[in-house]
Order: sequence, then structure tokens, then C-alpha cells
Amino acid sequence: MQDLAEQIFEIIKDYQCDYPDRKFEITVEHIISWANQFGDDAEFVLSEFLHFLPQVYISKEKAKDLIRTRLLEIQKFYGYKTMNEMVVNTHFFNVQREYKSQPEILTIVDEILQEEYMVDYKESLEDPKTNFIYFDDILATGGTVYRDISSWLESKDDGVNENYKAIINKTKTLAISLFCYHSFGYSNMEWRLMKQFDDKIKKVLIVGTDYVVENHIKTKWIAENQKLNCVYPIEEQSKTTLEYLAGLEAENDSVPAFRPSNLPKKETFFSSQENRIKLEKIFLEKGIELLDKVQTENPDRRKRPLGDTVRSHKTFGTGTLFFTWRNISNTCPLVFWWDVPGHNWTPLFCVKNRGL
Amino acid sequence: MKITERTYNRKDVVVFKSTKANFGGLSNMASGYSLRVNDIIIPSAEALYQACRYPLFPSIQQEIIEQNSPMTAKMISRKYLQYTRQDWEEVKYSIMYWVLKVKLSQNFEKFSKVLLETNNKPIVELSNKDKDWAAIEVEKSILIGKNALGRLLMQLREEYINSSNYIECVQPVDIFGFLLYGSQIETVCNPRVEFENNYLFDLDFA
Repeated sequence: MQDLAEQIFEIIKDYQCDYPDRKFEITVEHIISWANQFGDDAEFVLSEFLHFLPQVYISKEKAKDLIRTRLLEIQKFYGYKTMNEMVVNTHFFNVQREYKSQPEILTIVDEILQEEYMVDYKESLEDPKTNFIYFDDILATGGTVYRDISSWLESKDDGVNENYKAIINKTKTLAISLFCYHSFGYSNMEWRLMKQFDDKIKKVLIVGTDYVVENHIKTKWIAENQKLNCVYPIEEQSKTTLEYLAGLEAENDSVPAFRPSNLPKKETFFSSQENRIKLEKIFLEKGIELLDKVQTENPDRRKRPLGDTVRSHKTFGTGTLFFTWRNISNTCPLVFWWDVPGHNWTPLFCVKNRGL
Repeated sequence: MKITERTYNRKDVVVFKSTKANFGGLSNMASGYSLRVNDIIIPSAEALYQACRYPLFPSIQQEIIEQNSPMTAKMISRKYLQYTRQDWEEVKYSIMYWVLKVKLSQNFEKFSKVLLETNNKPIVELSNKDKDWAAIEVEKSILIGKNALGRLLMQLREEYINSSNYIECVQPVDIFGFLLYGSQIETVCNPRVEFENNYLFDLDFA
């Protein structure tokens, strides 16, 4: 167990390293005490977590590498000879609140541009722009990205025409740059943008992502080709689990709560099909146990054992297994981040802004 | 469903042929009328109709649906005619009517406007050779054909536009094996219903 915890520590040791007021340090001991909360399954949880962790943890250093690569891709894609030329013609959206991921990603963008290209993008903020880029870390349900970019698309930078018209007629470009998106959430965002603005948005919206959580399982054919690299439990669950689902106040049952037990066709994410089922069950049951402790009269309907999701969806949660150095997404299973006084649970990752 | 041939006088009817010309929105080839069935975005009514021919062949359906151009979707479909569902001739008109209802439900503002502009006149699709779905001009101003698409559009107009019967959700056709990508086709709704009820996502999502 010590060895497993040490290997995990090597991967996640920079979690919130740049955040002075973090609640606790990531240490080998901390990782072990988190695992011990799973009782007899402690070693199994660490072993399985370590199996997929290297591909789904973005350290600050890795984030910088990915953003550096993305900036070069953008420069090449738009056909600018120099990074300076690209920056002068490009607007980086800065619309999220201070503690959200976008401003932190922009800080890295700024560092790279200043240190490696001697360009300060903030000096040309007021210049007219051709390209518009929205940076974020994770698109889970699609709600945040939709809200932010639709608000810009419907506004009129030139005072006459809505911005989406310039995007459709290609006098301006709009790009989204992410470390990770969920295939189902992305499709929902795309559909809503198409219906609100124009079908052509689907073709002209530029998207760059480093990782895709493949969780679009409504139809058999698509589901069979998805990796299901997330927590998506099968229907065979305990009575308590099934009762939890039945009792959810959520009117939209068109989103499947369970994955078909024969999927994914080939296991490429967890160490084996059996271990996937076992870990999903452990995270799900522990998450339900934690939610059971909530005493609030009107608990947040988005909070689910496998992570926040859309209020109306009758599911166990988004089940995201993707982590960055800066903060853990609330769409990840609760066992990773639940930190409520009196609930007797220490999360693996402390959170900056999370409440009930 | 049996449909017999009819004769129309061009001056008495609304004719559509090219998607760019007047009433082009009535054509299944018209762009800008995207659909979403079982969470799959489908670029045109033509692509959805053609995909319904091959319920047991999801890879063919995918190839059809992935085409941006409705004409290309139709051409792709022609490559695989031998895999068409066996009862296609019996069910194709019901399926087409379902496709038109989905088109109306998911593009209500735009499509109902075009239907309304036909001013209750007979609607005829003009073709150079298709006397089944459309009609052909046999002599000046005389159009002959079954005009199945035009007649289904008139039925749609009667059922939903003239009766001010707002189309919220559309039930699947009650036939065996009505599948998209290997799954039963579910009820599809006007996206406004999904958006207003936050079925896709919450906008205050943190």
C-alpha cells in the first residue's frame, strides 16, 4: 500500500501547489488515510486509481506544455507567421469569475507569451480582433461553455450585427480550447448553439481538446464505440443504490443511469472489466453514504454520488475521472472531494470553492 | 399506404424544386433544418429519412448522417439499396410523415412560416423524373405525379398549422424495428422544451 501511495504521490504532488491557503498537503500519508476510509478495499482503490491516473492528471507543468502546444497550433491554424502577429489579432475570453479555471489558464498563457515570445497580450486588448478563443479546463455538461460563448455570440461587438453572424460568414473565428471534454456534454452544447443561432455553427466552431471522456451512450452503436473512461455503473446494484435512484427528484430519465453491462466492448481504461465494476460500486455506495449525511432541508439536486450533474437528469452523477493541478471538478465522484464538517470524510483533493 | 397519381395546374399550386428558390424550405434537401433523434444530431430531413431505410445497418446510417450535404447523404444511401428494410415500400410514407413532423417540431418557427406562406394552396414538388414523391411537367403548366411529399406537407399543414395545433413532441412510428444506431427511436421534442426545462444542462452550473 505504501508503494502504491508513493507512486500516486509522485503524480499528484503538485495539486494546488500554487495555492497558498490550501487546507492540507498532498502527502503519502494523506493518500493512505484517504484510502483507509474504504476499509478492506483500501489497497484495491489505490491500485485501480493508479492504473488510470497517469493519463487523467494534468500537473501544472503538463498544463503549460499543453497550452504551449495549443498556442503554436492556433498560430499555425490561423496562418500567422509570428506569435506576435497571432496575439495582436486574437482575443482571449476572460469572462469567468476570479477563482475559476479560465483566469488561471490565462495566467499560464501570459507567462508563455511573455517568457518565450516577449509578447504581452494585455497590451493589445483594445485592438480590433479577428480570432476569439475561449480557454477552459473541462467541459462536463456543457452548461458553462454554452452560457459564456452564447452570451458573446448574441452580443454585437460592432454595435450593429450579432457576433455569431461574423462567425458564420467567417470574418471572425471562434475557438474553444480545453484539456478535456465529455462527448455527451459537448454534443448537448453543440445542439443548443445550433438551435439558438445557426446550424452552421457546428461547422465553423473550432475545438481543441487534449482528452475526451467518452460517455455518450444513448444509442447502442455509438455506445459500443465509446471508451466509457469514467464511472458509469451497471444496473446490477444493491437495493439501497437502486432505491436512491428511484427516489431522485429528477424528471428527465432519457439520459441512461446505467451503462449496458457488456460495454465498453474492450476495457482500455480500468485494469479489467471486473475491477471496473468493483471500483464503480465502491465509489457509488460510498457517495450515497456521504449524501445520506446531508441534513439540509433543500439539498442541492445537482449533488450526486458520482459527482455533480444536471438537476433534471435521473442518474448517479457525471462520474468524471479527470483531474488538474488547480482544482478538482465537482463532476468527479464525491469520494475525491467531499469535505463537510461532521461527515467524517477526508477527501483526497481539497477544494477551493465548494459547498452544499 | 397507397397513393394515386394526380394532375395539377401549375398556376393553381405552390411549386418547389430548388432549395434556394421560393419555398425551398419545403424540400427535405433544405439546409438549416437540423434534427436530433436519440441525442444524435442529424443535418437534414433527407439524411434522417434515408437513414431509416437501414435500421439493421448502423454503419450505413452513420455514413449517411455524417454527410453535411443532403444530396451526398442521398447518394451514399443509393450505394446500399440492397440493404433496405424489406417492408420499405409499405412503411416509407409513414416514415416520411414522421420525418416531416420531427422537422416541424424541431424547427417550428422557420418551417411553420414556410408552410403558412403556401397560403393553403396545393403543394407540389416539381421533378424532372420522379413521379412518386414529386410530379413532372408533362406539358406546359400541367404537372402529373403522385406528389407524395407535397401531399404529406399538405397533411402536416392541415394537422398542425391550420389547426394551430402546436407540435411539442413526436412519437416514433409504430412499426417493427424502427431503429437508429441499433436503438429504438424514442419520442423527440421541440428543443425549446429541452432548453426551457434545462434537460441538457443547468446554466448556473458551477
